[in-house]
Parts: sequence; C-alpha cells; structure tokens
Amino acid sequence: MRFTFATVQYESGDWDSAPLVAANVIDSVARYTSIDVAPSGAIVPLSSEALLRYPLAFLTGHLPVRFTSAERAMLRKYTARGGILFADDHNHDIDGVFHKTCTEELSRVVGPLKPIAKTHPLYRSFFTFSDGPPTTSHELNGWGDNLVHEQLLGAEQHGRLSVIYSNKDYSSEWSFHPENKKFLSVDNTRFGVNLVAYALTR
Amino acid sequence: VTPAGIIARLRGVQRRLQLLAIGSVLLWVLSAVAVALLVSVVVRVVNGVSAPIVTAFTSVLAAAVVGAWRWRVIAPDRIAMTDAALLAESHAVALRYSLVTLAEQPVADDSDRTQRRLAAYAATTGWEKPTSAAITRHGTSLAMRMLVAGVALALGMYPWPSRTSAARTVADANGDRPVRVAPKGRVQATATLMQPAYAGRAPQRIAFGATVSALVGSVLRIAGVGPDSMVRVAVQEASPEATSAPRALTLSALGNEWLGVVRVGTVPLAVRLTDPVGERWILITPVVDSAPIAALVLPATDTLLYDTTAVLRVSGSVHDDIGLHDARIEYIISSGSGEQFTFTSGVLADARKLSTRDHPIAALIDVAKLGLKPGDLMHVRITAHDANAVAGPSLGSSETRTIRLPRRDERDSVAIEQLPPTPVDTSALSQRQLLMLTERLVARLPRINRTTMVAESQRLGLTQARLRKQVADIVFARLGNTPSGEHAHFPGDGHNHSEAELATLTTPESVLKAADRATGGVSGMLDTHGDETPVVAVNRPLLEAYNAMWDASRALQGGEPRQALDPMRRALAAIQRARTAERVYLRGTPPAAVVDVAKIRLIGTDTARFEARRALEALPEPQRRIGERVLRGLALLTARDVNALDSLRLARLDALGVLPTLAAALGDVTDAVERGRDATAAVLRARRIALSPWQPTAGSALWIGGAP
Repeated sequence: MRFTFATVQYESGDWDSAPLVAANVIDSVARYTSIDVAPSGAIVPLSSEALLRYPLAFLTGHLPVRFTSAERAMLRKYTARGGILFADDHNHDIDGVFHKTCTEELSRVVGPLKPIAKTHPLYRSFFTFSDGPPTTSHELNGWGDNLVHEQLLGAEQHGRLSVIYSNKDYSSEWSFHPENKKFLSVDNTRFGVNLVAYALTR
Repeated sequence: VTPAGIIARLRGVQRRLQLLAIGSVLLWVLSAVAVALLVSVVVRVVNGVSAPIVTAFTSVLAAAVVGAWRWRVIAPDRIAMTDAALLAESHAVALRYSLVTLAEQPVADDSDRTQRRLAAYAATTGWEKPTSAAITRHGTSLAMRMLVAGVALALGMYPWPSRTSAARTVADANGDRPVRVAPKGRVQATATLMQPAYAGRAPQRIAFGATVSALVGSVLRIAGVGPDSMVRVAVQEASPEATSAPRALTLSALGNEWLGVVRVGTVPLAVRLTDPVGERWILITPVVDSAPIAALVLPATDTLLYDTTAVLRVSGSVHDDIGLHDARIEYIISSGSGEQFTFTSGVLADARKLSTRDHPIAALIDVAKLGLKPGDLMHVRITAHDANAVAGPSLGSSETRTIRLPRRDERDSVAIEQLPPTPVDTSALSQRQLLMLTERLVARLPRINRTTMVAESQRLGLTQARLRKQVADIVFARLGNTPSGEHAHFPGDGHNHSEAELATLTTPESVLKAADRATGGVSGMLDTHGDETPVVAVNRPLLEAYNAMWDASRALQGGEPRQALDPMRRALAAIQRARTAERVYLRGTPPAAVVDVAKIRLIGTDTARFEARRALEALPEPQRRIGERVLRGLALLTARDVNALDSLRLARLDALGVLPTLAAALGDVTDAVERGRDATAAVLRARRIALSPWQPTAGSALWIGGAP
C-alpha cells in the first residue's frame, strides 16, 4: 500500500495556502525512509468518503474555519476509523481567527484539545525531538503572536492521537520547493517524517 | 716405321689425354654449380626464400674454386708425351719401356740407329689399339658423368615452385569466389618498399604474402627477370563495396628484366602479381604522417607580471612520429589601449634542421629587453614543422600562454564583503509576553513582599516604556525641517515627502489637520515632550496602543502592576487590530512540485519495464558483403586451406575503412596464424563481429569479449 500525503479541502477559508508542504513532506519521507510513497500529494474534500483512504490528512489556512455538517461528520468518521488530522495555523497566532475557529471546530468533533507532552511517542516515531516540536523560524517573525509555542495540542482516541493541532506555522516553514533543501544545513521538515511514521504505525 | 712416326702417334695420344683431363675439370665445375643450384632450390622450396643473385654468385664462386682446384690437381697442361707413353706401356706390357725410352729422346732422329730399332720394336707390339681403347673408355665414362652433372644442373636451374607460392586457389578479382590457377611456369620477382626520403629508412625487401605499413608517398618496386609478357602486376584499392577492379600496372622492360612501380596513397592497396604459376599478394596499409605535437610546459598558466624587469623562462618540447624539421618559440606583443594598438612579433628560440623525433626547446623572456610596458600583452607559443616532403611539412603548435603586465590602475578592485546574518534580538519582549509576565507577577503578589514586587514591577515598566518607544517610532512622524532618527529619509526609499506637502506643514494648525486626516478624526495635539516639536499620529490603532502603553508603564513604574493589566490588554488588542487591518495575503500560483522519489533515493529511474524487443536492423550492403567474405575466409582457415590467409588479408583491407573493429580482429587472426600462435580467440571474435548486425561506434563500448 502506497502512502499518499493528503491535503484537506474545506468549504470555508483558504485551505490551499501552503501548496508546497505536501511535496516537502513527501521528499523527506522518500529521503529518510523506505516507505513506499506517492510522488505527489492528493487534495481531498473534507466531506468526501475518499478521505478514508488516507491515514494522514493535513489542514491549514489563515482565515476563519467553519466546517459544514457534512465535513464535521466525515471528520468524526475519519478520526474514529484511525485517521489522523494534522491542523496547522498558518498565522501562528493564538488570538487569530484561524486559531480560535479551528480549535473550536475540532473540539466540537473530537473533544477538547490538550497539550501534547514533549515525551509523547510522536516525537520519537522516527527522528527524536527531545525538546518537543521543533521551533520554526516563523514563530518570532512579528507576524503572529510572537510566542514560541512549546507544545502542540492534540486529542487522543483509543490511546492514539487522532487530531494534532499546531500554532507553530509549519505551513510557512515547510512551504518551499524541495529542491531548495540543499541550502539548509539541517532539514527543517524532518518532523513531517515523524507525523507520517506515527500515522502509519499507531 | 720411323721414330718420328711413333712420336707423332704418341703426340696424338697426349692430346687425347689432355682433353680427358680438361673434361674431368669441367665435370667437377659442373658438379659444383649443380650442387649450389640444388641447394638454393631446396632452400627456396622449403623456406620460400628466393635469392637469384646470391645463387648466381654462389654458383660462380663454386665453379671457380672447384675448377681452379681440379686444374691444379689434374693439370692438363702438364700432361707430357712420356705420360702418354707410360699409359701405352701400362696397356701394352710387351713394349718393355721401348716407347717411354723413345719418348724421352729430346729429338726424333730417323738416322739414329737406336731410335730406329726402338721404333721398329714398338711397332711390332701393336700398342696403339689397347691404348686407344682405354682412352675411349675413359672418355665414355667422363661423358656419362658429365651427362649426370648436366641433368643435376638442369634440375637446379628449373623454377621449382616454393611452398608459399605454389599453385594455389586464390580469390577472384572481387575476392569473393576462389578459382584455381594451373601452374605452368614461375616468374622470379622481388618487391622492395622504399619509404619517402624524409623518413630516413632503408629500402625494405618485402616477401609476397605480407601485409606492410607504408608511409603515404612510399614506392613499392616490383622487379623480375624474364619476359614481361609472362607476368601481370595489378593494383587494387581497398573499397568497402569490394567492386573496384584491379588496375593493371604498366611494366617497364630493360633487357631481360622488367620493373613495376606502385606509389602508396592514402587508400589501402593490394598489389597482385600474376604469373603462369599463380597469383601472389602484397597488402599495403598506408600510414599518414601526423603533425608534430608541441607542448608548452612553462609558464604553466596565463600570468600576470608586475615586475617590468623580470626574466621569465619559457620551455616545452616537440615531438613527431617520423621526424622533425624545425621548432621555435614565437611571441606576439600587443601594446596600446582604446582604439590604438600596435603589434610586434618575433622568435625567442629557433631550432632548425632537426633530425630527431623529440626535441626540447626553451628560452628566456627578458621583459626589459623586449621593452614590455604596463598594459602590454605578450602571447607565447611553440610551433614545429615536420620533415614531410611528400604532402608538405605539417605544422603543430602548442597552447598559447598570455603574459600580461597590468597597469597600475588595474590593480584597484571593488570588493564587497558579505555581511553575516543579523542575529535575532532574543532580548526583545512582545506586548503579549509583557502582559503574560505582568499577569504572573500579579498572581504572585500574595506570596512576595512589596519590595520585590515594586522592583519587578518597575523592571517591567522600563521594558514597557522601551516597547512604547519602538511603537512611537512606527506611529509618529516628527515635524520639522531636520528629520530626526525617528523619521529619517533615505534617497530612493520611496518615502520622501513632496516639497509642496512639506510647504503646507508649516504651522501647528496645519499639522493637526493633517494628523486628523491621517488618524481618521482624532483631533488635537496628542503628545508633546517639553519643548520638542509636536508629533502627529499616523496610525490610529497603534496610537491607541501607544497611549495605553503610557498608562501601563506609569502604573508599573509606580509599583501597581494590577492597575497596569487593563491598559496592557488594551494595548495588545489595539496592536492586534492594527496588524489585522494591515494584513495582506499575497497569493500566487506556486510551481507544481512532483517529487522524484527514485532520484532522491539514488536508485535510478529504471522501472523494470522494457519495451518489446525489435529486430535488429541489417547491416548496409557493403558491410554485409565483407562480413560474408570474412566468414568464408574463416571457414577456409578452419579447413586448413592455404588460401585462407590471403582471403582474410584481402577482406581486412576492405574492412579497414568501414568496419574497423572487424579489421582489427582479422589482423589478430592473421598475425596469430603467421606466428604459429593459437588463433581461436581471435577467430571467435572476428566471427562474432562479422555475424553481428550491430557494430560498435566510437561512443559505444563493447561489453563482451574484450573486443577493441
């Protein structure tokens, strides 16, 4: 079974604000693992049954998020059947509209989001991040809340994370062409491999 | 019977004896010549080496030596009358030495009584008949032996065919179909290759059947003895089509000898000599003289020379495959600038009349002597001519090195040092962080004493004041003719006020109106600092934040953090509003990024799916014909046919131009066979190439069998 990185398309907001994240995560998965990975990602409507084909779904945006009832129902079904939704605030702003609306919507589906401990298996599923989620260069750039968010938020079902929420703006951090990784001394997309490995093994 | 009569008869016997002696000497001479010729025949037949001059010389020498020796031993000129008398006495015993006594007399005298009695007695014995019979027997025996010697001589002179040039099956004109030529008579011929004079090589005797390499311009002289009508010499140029007909060579006759001259061009040749016995070959592969190779060793690279008194060494070497004629180091100096340049050329070193193949050459560049000035360019190279007098001397030259004397102003350059990345100001605290710290301080109030609380509150107040100053830099435009650091202008920053705009801002009232417009209705002077010039707000939400920060910093510095919380929250909310109002989401179409997983994993792009196999295309017709000829030749070789080598040599000649790999393989085959080595591998390789419809090109490598 080939792994395909899926980006969630939802009715409200700008779901396609970070189009190169998929390519970057795919590149890292191919580079560091032997996972059979599709060379390009898929775009899946949140209300579509097709979402169930993908073990990991990525959601991002800047603008307010309001799920339709169909989207909400499909997300509930998706998480209940073992899918993992990784939502990232492209504003990295805890008072921003995306943060408030998205966390509210996710909480309505999977319950309240809680901080994920730095010792969580997510941070050791492939690479080891002993300090928790890797800091992005966008957290202190004056655009968002100017805070370094120490922890991600998440909701667990049956002992595994079903929703992972980030204020760290991985959408900005990972949205560049994979060819340009050669200019980085340390690949900043390695955490994406952990997300994929966690989604495939838990 | 008189004594004179007896003496006259004895003289007759003496002459017959002398003739027999001379005949004996001749018999020895004939035998020696016959032996010499037979030896040469054996050598030629067995080894195929034909040397008629050596044979003739050997025969004459043998005849002279043996003849002189036998003449000295037999000495026909010294056979005297007494010898004839003794011969007669030996065959007529009754003579009782009367005849010898009579022969020993100095003069025959009929009046001498003794001589008359001796003559009378000898006459009564009848000595002549047995003596004559004995001489006849000797003569007959001699004649028989001379006949045998004559037969041997004839055998030695007969043109026995040698083993290598015996009657054979040879290829026809196209080299395709073998035909048999009946042996009738053999023509002695020699071939001599004379390379061009400039090569300095001695004439080379070439054996028929050989493949030789010759410089273009060489001459092959084929000479023979006998009528030229008995022989035909033809020249056939190699051709991939194998359709070129042999061109008959015009022979020039000189007495009993004939001569043919073949000039070697750039095309491989087969020289075919046909006589009644059969056909013989000489294959000639032309060698083109290469141009000389010149290598400039010093200076190793192009050079900048700042010292106008320097002495620089130039050195290198030249090489030619045959022979060099001259070598030199040339230079060109270009001086001037702009549109005015002058050029000077010359020679630094000149070596002529070289007779070697390699020659080192060196010289010194004396910058001062050559008059080089800053700004000049000097180009140096080595050139060489070879001694090729046939196609003209070829010129070889080395790389050109450039030596530049820079001007003084050329040394200036612009160097821009790249700045290191600006470090992030990690000491800066945002309004949100200040608010969070203040909230923590308020939460700790019940647990800390007032002194600590006041100290921490004042520290937060200072930070809040500093942050307020930063906001002020953004928010306010300070008025006045001389902009301060809070509102500076830079050329080209796109933020210059127009002259007309500045002219209108000359009074506080006009400034306040402008501020009111900018802030959307907030009127009145908002802030002054002592006697400073008034400031005007240009960003209303940030202005609100600025005022809230004033309140917060005053409360914090007064030791009342609880009262600071509300204005701090107002300031944060105002900042958020200002930021949200200014947010612009720039969207563009990103490039499609499809990850090449195989490339990233360094496993190539082979998908393990192959196209359907296609039939290989057949070779062009000429190559196919050569391939078939080679296969037939290899079959002959396998059958130990004596003609196989010739067929393969001819095929190789035609393959040289179009199928070089096949030609190389055939060369290995013929070489191995001639040297008596195992030719199996070479034959297999040649067969594989001849059978294969695919031929390697220069860019493709053979992966099997190690073929060239």
